[in-house]
Amino acid sequence: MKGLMKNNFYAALSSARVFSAIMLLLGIFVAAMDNVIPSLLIGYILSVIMGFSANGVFALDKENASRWRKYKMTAPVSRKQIVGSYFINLLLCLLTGIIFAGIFTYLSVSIHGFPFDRSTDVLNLFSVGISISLFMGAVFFPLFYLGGDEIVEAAFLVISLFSAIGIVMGIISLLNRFFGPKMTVEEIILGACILIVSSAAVFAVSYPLCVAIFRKKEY
Amino acid sequence: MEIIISNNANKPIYEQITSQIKEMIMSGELKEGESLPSMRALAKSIRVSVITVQKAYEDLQRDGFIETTVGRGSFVAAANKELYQEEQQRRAEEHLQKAAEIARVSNISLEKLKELLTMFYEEDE
Amino acid sequence: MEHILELKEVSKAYRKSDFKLDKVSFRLPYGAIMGFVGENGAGKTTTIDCILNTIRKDGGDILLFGKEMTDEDKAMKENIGIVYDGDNFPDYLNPMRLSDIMGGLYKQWDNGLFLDYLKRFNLPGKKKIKTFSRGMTMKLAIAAALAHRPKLLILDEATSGLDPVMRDEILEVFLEFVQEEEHSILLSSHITSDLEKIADYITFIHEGRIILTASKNELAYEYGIMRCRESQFKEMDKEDVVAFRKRDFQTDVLTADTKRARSKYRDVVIDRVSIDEIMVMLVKGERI
Repeated sequence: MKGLMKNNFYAALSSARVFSAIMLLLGIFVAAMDNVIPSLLIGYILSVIMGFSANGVFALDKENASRWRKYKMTAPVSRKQIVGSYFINLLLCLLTGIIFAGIFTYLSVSIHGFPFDRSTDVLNLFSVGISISLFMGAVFFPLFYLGGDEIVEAAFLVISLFSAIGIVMGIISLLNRFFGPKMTVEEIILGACILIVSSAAVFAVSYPLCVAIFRKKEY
Repeated sequence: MEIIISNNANKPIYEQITSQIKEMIMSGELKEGESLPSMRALAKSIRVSVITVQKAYEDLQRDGFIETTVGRGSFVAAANKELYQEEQQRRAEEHLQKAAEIARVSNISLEKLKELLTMFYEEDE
Repeated sequence: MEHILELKEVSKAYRKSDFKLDKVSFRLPYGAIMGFVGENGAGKTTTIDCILNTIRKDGGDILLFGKEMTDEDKAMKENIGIVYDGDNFPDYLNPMRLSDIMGGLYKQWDNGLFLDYLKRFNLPGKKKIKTFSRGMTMKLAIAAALAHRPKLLILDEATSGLDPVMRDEILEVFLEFVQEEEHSILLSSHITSDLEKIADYITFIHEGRIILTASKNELAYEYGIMRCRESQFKEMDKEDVVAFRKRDFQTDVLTADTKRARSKYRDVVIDRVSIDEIMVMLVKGERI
């Protein structure tokens, strides 16, 4: 497993380096700017969380150019572990995104004060970003294992991203329908939890599904 | 121990190995009881497959020139004048056979052949 | 006596094409090098994929070290080294990072040994694989396969694309590898000159079927080609003819016992036969 994780790390590294640098600079910029109109901060939080997650997924694509995927299967790892390493990799990338978002939100708030209407708005932003990322992964990996080699993975990535956004928006509108237009703080927190928990559940279910698909696959 | 292998010679590689080792044993270059390199080590030094050397060693053992024991390797067998004699005779036979074939195909008579043989044999006397 | 690798009537059919492996059987003993010969598309890679479990066979048995391979059997996989044709590793890695990954994948990974091979093969440790020539990537793959101290080394067309100097180096490495009696190599190739030198056994595959598997000694010294006139051919016994080809002025006949043929057919020329010729005769020749 360690080897697989290191492999994923190195794969993500080359593209992640550039992305991290950009996000670092952007974060500093956003924190420095006055956040009376919080759109910059909102945009930053969402894009850094989803961006790192997408990065984590894109790393898979680079392995296609060689026989590395086939090679890995001959190594002392089970197919289950190979799939697992991708899922864990995505979680780690997601975590990185959350940390970046957290740090620069904290900086922005400490420097300029709290820009949002309600304290729970920050929670909402994070939960939206996290759940979209998790749904994206949950949709992408099975697609990848089903179609994999024949169809370009960027297409899968786009499909997963948009379906994730669609799903999350769907859940949000359901929540609004259910709780009414003005939600109490408890209801908002509940809503955020529902988002995160449902996306995590779907993500978790996606894993054994992928293992089952991968077990049948031939290279 | 130096073994020279020719890829182009008509003689199979294992035979080249066998005859060179026999030569070295008969000339005394390889002494009785001396150990031979392991089959694999020899295969590596002369760049041939292990099975080729295996066959060579098997033939050497069959002809009584070496003894191979599992675990200890191969050693030159006790000097055996009879054995060497047999080997030399075998070589002479090879050559004679060739001469006979050539003679047969080109219509040289058996008498002529015997004549030539006697002449060559008595040349040094 | 156990063999390091045994295939018994392995079959695999692909739904999408006509190609299939048909009752493939052969055995590789411990301490031996086997050449696996066949034209492109004959089924070499498919067979190797079945052995390594990257594709699933439809029928038959494959035993490695006397056991069947399962996905979970990690101990077995530690002892198998693999080298594929072409790019084995992602090109954004460099050898040092590769070693890092391999160290995490194989318990038996020996970084010191890997570095020794890098030095021996003249491979830079920190340059990206992207910058390597084809020969260098091959050598890197071989180094990586050997550095986790496997017992069985499987190479799928790994020497094609190497220049003669490199191939010579690699053959030396292979002979070193089988210095241990427990080590064996399965080398699929169509560069038969390499196999003539170092292989102990040769298995020929054609259109998914094994057409001959024998020790190299048999093929080199007991098999032969008789070159004869049509009239002489007509007189020959069926049992002496493995395959034949009628050419313009002569008929070539592949025989499995030149000693017997020599004594039986005294006026026929009998040549030693190369692996290439055997292959061509078996594939293009006719049987009686």
